[in-house]
Amino acid sequence: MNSVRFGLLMALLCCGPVLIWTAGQLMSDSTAASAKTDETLRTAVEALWLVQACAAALMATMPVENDPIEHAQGMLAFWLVPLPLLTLVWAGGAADAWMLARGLAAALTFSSVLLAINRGLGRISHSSPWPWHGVLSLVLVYFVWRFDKVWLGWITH
Amino acid sequence: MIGRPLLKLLPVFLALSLDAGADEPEQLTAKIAWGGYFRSGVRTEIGLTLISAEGGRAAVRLVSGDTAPIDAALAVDPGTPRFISIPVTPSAEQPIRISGFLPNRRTFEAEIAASYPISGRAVAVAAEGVETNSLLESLAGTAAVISAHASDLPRMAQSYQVVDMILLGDREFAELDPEQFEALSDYLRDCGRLVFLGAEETWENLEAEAGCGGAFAIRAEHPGQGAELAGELLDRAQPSLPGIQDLRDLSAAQPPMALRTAAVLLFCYFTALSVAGLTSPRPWPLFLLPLAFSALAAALLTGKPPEMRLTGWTETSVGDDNARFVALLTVSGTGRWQGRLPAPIKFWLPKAETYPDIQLDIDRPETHGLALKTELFSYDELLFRGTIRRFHPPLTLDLDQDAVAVANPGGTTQPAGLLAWDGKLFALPSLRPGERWSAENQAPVAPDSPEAYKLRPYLNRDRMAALLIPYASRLWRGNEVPGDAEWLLIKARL
Repeated sequence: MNSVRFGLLMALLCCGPVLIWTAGQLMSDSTAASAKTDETLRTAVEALWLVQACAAALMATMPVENDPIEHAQGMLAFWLVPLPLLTLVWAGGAADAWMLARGLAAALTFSSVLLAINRGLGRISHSSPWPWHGVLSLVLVYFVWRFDKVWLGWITH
Repeated sequence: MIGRPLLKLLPVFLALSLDAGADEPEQLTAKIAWGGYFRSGVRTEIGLTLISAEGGRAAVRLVSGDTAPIDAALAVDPGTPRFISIPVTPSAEQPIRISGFLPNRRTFEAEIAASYPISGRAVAVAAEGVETNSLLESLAGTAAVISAHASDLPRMAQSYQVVDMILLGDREFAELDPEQFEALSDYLRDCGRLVFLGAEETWENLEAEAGCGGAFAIRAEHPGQGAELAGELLDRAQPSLPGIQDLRDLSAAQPPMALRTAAVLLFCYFTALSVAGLTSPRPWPLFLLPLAFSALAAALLTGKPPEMRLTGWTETSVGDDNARFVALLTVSGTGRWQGRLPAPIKFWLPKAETYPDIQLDIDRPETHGLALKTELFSYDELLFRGTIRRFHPPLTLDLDQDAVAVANPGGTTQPAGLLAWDGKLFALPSLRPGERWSAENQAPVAPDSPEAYKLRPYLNRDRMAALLIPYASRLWRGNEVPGDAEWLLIKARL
């Protein structure tokens, strides 16, 4: 399986549960106040970004023998797949275009850093017994998780 | 609209005065109806007098309680006081915020706090000679008494929700301006309680306006009798119109369809994506598909007007020239949309869990509108109430000791309905022009439909019949809002 297909598979795995949960919430509250729908859609976006962050970290630990361009394409496919879902969230009024753009920018930055770690340190890891790129990726994911309020605050405000 | 406050805040009693100074002729005076008495969360009104050095268009925005802002636009002549009434929903916690701009584009903003909250029942007295003590004695401590001058009486019928009854004197009645008289008429048509202390000839005019067959409007010969009658009248239960849940039950509206559109779109997208991922040797389709579907979703889900449905209930009594209505308007968003819906011809401000912005053009009342903003999955409900003057029911109901008959005096065929009489429910057939139908020898039907359920209160009432038929109220001009389920209830009493 090449990186692009792997990226697609990971994106579908991220979107699937979020989509099912969102649809279930909206179906059960079809006549509820708009505020609750807003909350559902916002939660869906945040959950999507969170699982994407985890999936991106996982992808970053992939073997590095792939073509770097193909690797980047895999990441791009991974981030582009939920775009129509985010468009629906925008149409639902839960997020404005700027918020979604900021979220996408933050996600792409995060992926790029992971990719850089993977490409740069992955080679070293191959010649040493320690998987440095994996450790560093996990440290980065830990900080993303630890300071979620900071980046979520930047995105949503 | 937030700008430098050009006008100073000078609170005087409950009236708010704003004055830019001795050299500045701009002035805004605000006064809450009922002398400042209010119920938290219940509509009342604020009277604004605006004086501007320059003529032209001015605008005022009011924010009160938790409701959406109300914007009013009006024309002002230079140096001439311009008076307007704007509905407000005061709360004890939040002051009413007033802002706006004058014809010379200078902005102003100020706050006014409603000071006298009412809890429990309240009787307003705008009549000379009524002794508070005797009135309180008659009311047996079940209601508070508030004194009001003629100028304190509202200009919008909905502001009468603040009080449960009004005692009105002849002299005070004569001081009412046309807007106040119109509001009082609306209140009476809505079966509001009134004890009038005045001359017989004046009373005849007022009595003609009273709804519910005049059961809640009485005349007293003198203040002492007025106080006595007040206690009795206050205990008389007013007929209630269906509430929001009743109208939801009557509505045939389907749940919003937006979810289905979104689900179909996403299903197509994920299918296309999976096929492309499995079959395409190149990565580009996987990049293009998300972008293409996003563009498609954005195009499909913007600029589409919402789906609107109206469920209405109108009530009148035989011999009554007036009718009362309540209508539930549901607005289902089918995407991002912003627009303006003309308000019904005559209405009280909508009351619902969510509120759109209200835009009032004071100089052109016929263009009052609701500024609506919808999104995908959004669902708003607006409850309108109002009264109809000189109402002509499409069917007549003749009731005597032993029988009840329904006739169609009009020129069009009337749809089938239901009749409650003598503890039984009858199915009324469709009646052609001039046709007459009698309940005698008819087999009763089971009350198993939502509309039949609404007739149940009338099944076991002695000497009373109630007829329920589908009815198009035409609250809106044109066809802006399609009727969904609208009903007319005609009551008759022996």
